[in-house]
Amino acid sequence: MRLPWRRKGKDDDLAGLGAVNNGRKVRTSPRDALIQAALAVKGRRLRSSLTIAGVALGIATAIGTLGITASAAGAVSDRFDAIKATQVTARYPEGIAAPPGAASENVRSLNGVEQAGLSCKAQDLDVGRNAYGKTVNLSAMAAQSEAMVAYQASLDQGRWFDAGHGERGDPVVMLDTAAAAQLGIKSLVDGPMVFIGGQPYLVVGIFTAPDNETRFTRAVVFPYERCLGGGFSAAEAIVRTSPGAAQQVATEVALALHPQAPARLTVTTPPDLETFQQGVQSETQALFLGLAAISLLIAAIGISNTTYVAVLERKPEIGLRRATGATRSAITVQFLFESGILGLVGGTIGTILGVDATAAAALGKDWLVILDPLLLAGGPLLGLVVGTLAGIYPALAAARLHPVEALRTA
Amino acid sequence: MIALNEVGRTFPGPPEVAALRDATFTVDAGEMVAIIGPSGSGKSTLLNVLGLLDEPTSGTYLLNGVDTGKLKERSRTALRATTLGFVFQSAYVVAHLDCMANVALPLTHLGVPRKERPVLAEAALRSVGLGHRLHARPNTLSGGERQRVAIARAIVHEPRVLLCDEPTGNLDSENTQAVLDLLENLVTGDRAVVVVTHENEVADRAGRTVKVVDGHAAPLAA
Ligand SMILES: Nc1ncnc2c1ncn2[C@@H]1O[C@H](COP(=O)(O)OP(=O)(O)OP(=O)(O)O)[C@@H](O)[C@H]1O
Ligand SMILES: [Mg+2]
Repeated sequence: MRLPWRRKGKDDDLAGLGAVNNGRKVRTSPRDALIQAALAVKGRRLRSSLTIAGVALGIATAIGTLGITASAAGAVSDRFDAIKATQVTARYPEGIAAPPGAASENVRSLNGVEQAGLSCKAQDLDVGRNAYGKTVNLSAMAAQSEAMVAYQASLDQGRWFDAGHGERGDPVVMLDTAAAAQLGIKSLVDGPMVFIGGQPYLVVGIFTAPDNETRFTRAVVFPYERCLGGGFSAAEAIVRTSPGAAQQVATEVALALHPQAPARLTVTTPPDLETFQQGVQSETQALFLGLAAISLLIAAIGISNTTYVAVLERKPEIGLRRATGATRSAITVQFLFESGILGLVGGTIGTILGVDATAAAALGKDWLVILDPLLLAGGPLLGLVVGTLAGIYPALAAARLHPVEALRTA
Repeated sequence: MIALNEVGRTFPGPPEVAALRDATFTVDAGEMVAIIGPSGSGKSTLLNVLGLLDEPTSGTYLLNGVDTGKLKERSRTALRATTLGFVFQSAYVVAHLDCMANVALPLTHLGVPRKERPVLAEAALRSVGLGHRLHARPNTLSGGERQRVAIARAIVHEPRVLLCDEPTGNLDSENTQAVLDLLENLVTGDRAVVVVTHENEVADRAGRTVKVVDGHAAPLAA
């Protein structure tokens, strides 16, 4: 049989053979180098899997760290969002309370304000169903209905106060569900009354107290105007803002409420959400990313070491390939491909493990799983890069081997 | 085909070793030449020079008219890949590749189209009597079979010159005979076979003998 690169009938073809193979250069194609690398990875199963495990561990740690910290920060900000992130309060100095009209109107006209209202606290009161007889001791508040909405109280029965209740000084109260239960009031249909200091008050509404405001729990609430009559404390304006507006509103609210002496008001703002999140994230992330970097480094050293040992072990193979036409660069490329494949496979497995770890951790804590989709592509890619970089030294060592030296080992 | 004129190879050391001092002989197509000599005389060094695996430090080596001393590394590699085939004392089969893939290695590095490789590899394996073990892993083969895989690999690309260094050194007498029969059959009108050996029965099969003594290589008068 005659091979294509041996030109027929010419006996002097060797003279032209410097770099000729049927008119083409003698050359190991990149694709062949890749196939040879894949065959070596596949054929040397135990060594390959150990190396892959090392990379997978490193990448899994990195992905898991990023995923778990992102999910944790997300969970923190979720809770945080819902309650505090949109709440601003402005506390009046003792003995002063704003008149109901202008102040709260001014605040409501600020950009980003959704609800705003005034409230204050009075002495606890004994409240009964009859003029004389058994009473229960309840926390007493006076509040505009807007304030109660802003505090996120929710109406169960009846209605909120209207402006007329306060202006006329009507004897009306609202109760929270706990207080109503203690007083045995189940329904407002037949207009139940309560007695305070011998005076009757009509119960106009029953509400569920907000989780984070204990002052409205087991409480009787009067219209805000009661605050102006003395005997109150802790007068404050509560502002519910649209998301992200809290910081801005906080800088304006004191002036809007009390233009004469804004500095006398104590304004409470939520901690800045981003700073807070970053705080949570950066602390944990720095720690674990450090760990991940170390495990990646160990994995890289692992690949480098395995590949280097493989080069020593495979000296005859290298010598043989060189003898049969592989150039130094073909050897370099093959070994780079090998370590690259190990890195890529390790990176892919590591990404899967890291995502699983994140999902397990997040589900265990009822968090939303937050994973940057870039990470899913980034993990395998990082493995590939680490693998290839780690392979550079062994690959060059393999290429440097002199064929005679490589073939000397028996 | 091969013409050596006062070829020497000195290893710089230290200590400096003049492994090959003066090799002057020719090998023509269609002949089988044995290279004999005592251990350490420079036979393997000579064969490595012939195989373009090593460069002489003196003298001229013409391979089919090409002055190999003037070639760059890439051209030496290309010339080696297309023209020469090697069989060593160890078979050097690659453990993670099956017989077909082992035999196809030279074709891979030559850049022979992928489709043509299995055809050539199978033909080579059949020609050494291993048609029934095409996809066997090397570790399932006997020593003699492994050496036959090595021979198939050495001839799969139809080299003009087949260079063998102690090809039967690891084999018992039965396998030695089988391998020698194969080598003898590989001597054709346009191919030369060079065999380094210290076994007389191998040398007896060759048409001519080159004797190496202390780095001096010259044809033995018949
Ligand atoms: N790379 C080297 N550096 C230094 N000396 C070397 C080197 N390679 C071979 N030699 C020396 O050159 C001499 C010839 O070695 P060579 O391997 O050619 O011998 P040989 O004839 O093949 O012997 P054997 O029959 O035992 O295989 C020996 O003395 C050997 O020690
Ligand atoms: Mg020798």
